[in-house]
Amino acid sequence: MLRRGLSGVLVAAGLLAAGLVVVPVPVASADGGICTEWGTCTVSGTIPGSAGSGSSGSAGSSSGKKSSGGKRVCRIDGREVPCSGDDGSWSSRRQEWCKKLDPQPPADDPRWEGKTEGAIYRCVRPTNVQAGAMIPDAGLATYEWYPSQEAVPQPPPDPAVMARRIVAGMGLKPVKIGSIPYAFDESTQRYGTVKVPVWLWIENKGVGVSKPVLASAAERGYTVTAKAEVVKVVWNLGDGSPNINCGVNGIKPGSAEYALKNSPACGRKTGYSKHGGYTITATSYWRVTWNGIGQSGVIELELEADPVDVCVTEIHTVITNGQPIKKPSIKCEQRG
Amino acid sequence: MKKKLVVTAVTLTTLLVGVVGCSKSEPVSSPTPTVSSAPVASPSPSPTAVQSFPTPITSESAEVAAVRAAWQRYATVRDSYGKNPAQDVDPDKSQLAKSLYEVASGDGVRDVVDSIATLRAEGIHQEGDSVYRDVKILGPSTTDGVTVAQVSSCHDPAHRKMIVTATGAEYDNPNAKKTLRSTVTMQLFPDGKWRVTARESRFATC
Repeated sequence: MLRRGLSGVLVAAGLLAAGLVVVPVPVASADGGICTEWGTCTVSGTIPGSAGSGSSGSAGSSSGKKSSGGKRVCRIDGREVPCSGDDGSWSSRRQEWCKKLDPQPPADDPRWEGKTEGAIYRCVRPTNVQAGAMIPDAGLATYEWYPSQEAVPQPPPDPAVMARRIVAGMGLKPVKIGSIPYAFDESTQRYGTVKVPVWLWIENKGVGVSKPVLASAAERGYTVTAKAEVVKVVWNLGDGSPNINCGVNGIKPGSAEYALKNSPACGRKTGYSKHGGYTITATSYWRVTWNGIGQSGVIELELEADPVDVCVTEIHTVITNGQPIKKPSIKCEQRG
Repeated sequence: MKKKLVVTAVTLTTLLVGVVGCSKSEPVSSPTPTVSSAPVASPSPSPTAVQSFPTPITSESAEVAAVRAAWQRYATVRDSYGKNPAQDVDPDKSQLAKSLYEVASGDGVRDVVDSIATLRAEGIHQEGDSVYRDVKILGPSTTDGVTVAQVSSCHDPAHRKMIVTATGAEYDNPNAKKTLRSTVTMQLFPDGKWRVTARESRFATC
């Protein structure tokens, strides 16, 4: 049972590590841009009054492309910009000119963030790209620490790759199925009665369900952070009926008597219609949101729980003090 | 049983290029939290001072309290720039900018500066105070030698107005009156300070 669950995780981790079935899909905010609390938004990475989009810069590129003649060509939003000048060299990733500060700030300057190695760089964006001015906008300069002492910061690692590494190390597991039909022991076999409400819940409602998982990865001073949480669990009773989607809801009833008389928060009030053997399955849908190194993204995972076999009879189980006391002594024929 | 795994990755490049506005030295105001006794947002902007941040949970750990305090300082710095976007962003010239580098790092700084750029481009500024509620802190969590936390909050604009600086008229943009749910990632740095390294936000009823 556990092995099956873990294998799902390992498959997921393996696929993630191999970069398989990863489909990039653009993401937009509700109103199609990145918005501020002041109501201003940037659309497709462009702020109002500019045409500059940083999306073209690959995370791994810190210099402009070279033309066929070998001369370096630097561009922003398709327009050529000087590759170097008084404000430093052009960074394709940042879409800015960056230059190592000389002299470097004193050790107690907050830009060092307590670090004692590397260097502080000053980066300046071009102003009024649309008008073609391409003048460094000194009024919007930013400072950033880089781990190396290079004249131009070296390309950072790929944050998407780091994000996949984080997910692989998170140990995300499928949910464990809780149900009435009820299990008499630790086996996967469970027993129920026709037309008795089926209750479903997540037995291991901890990591990822009640509380998201937060983790990070660091490489050469660059950090990526990821948050994983279960967004929904889709159940199937194995009798040919449609899937049941309860989000992450589903409550374990306080007693079998209560379960008999009440509607489940997740499950089916009418229960199984025919006796026989069925298999209950549950798929947990995980959403991992990550950010770092100027990028963000989402990784979605589906992890299947260990299925449980249920034997549904037309004989009512004897219930005492809230618990069934007698295991039905019949064999179930697999249905569904 | 058939096993399936679907992985989709959505990548959003958040590198923004700011290209607007100009900067000149302006009087520097140090970030000061707005505090008063009216925590409930009213439907229209009011001159009455409001409590910008919810009262911290007394039972929260010292670590979480440190994250919360750093996030509040970050929000206060943002708010200060919102009230006067012309303030310098260079820490060599402005105490407020120096404060910015004490509460944000890397892309966190760039996001603030990008946001200031949008204000300058639109020629607008904030009057009144921001109210943050429904603050949730996830973490701190340490993996790979890095300690991070996330703070999500609902920004309520009910107690502030956006003003077109040149005319004094209210900024005509419905987005300015929407509630915004945002999540910031914070990281603990070697100097013992928590800094915002990334911010995500979306307009949402909250």
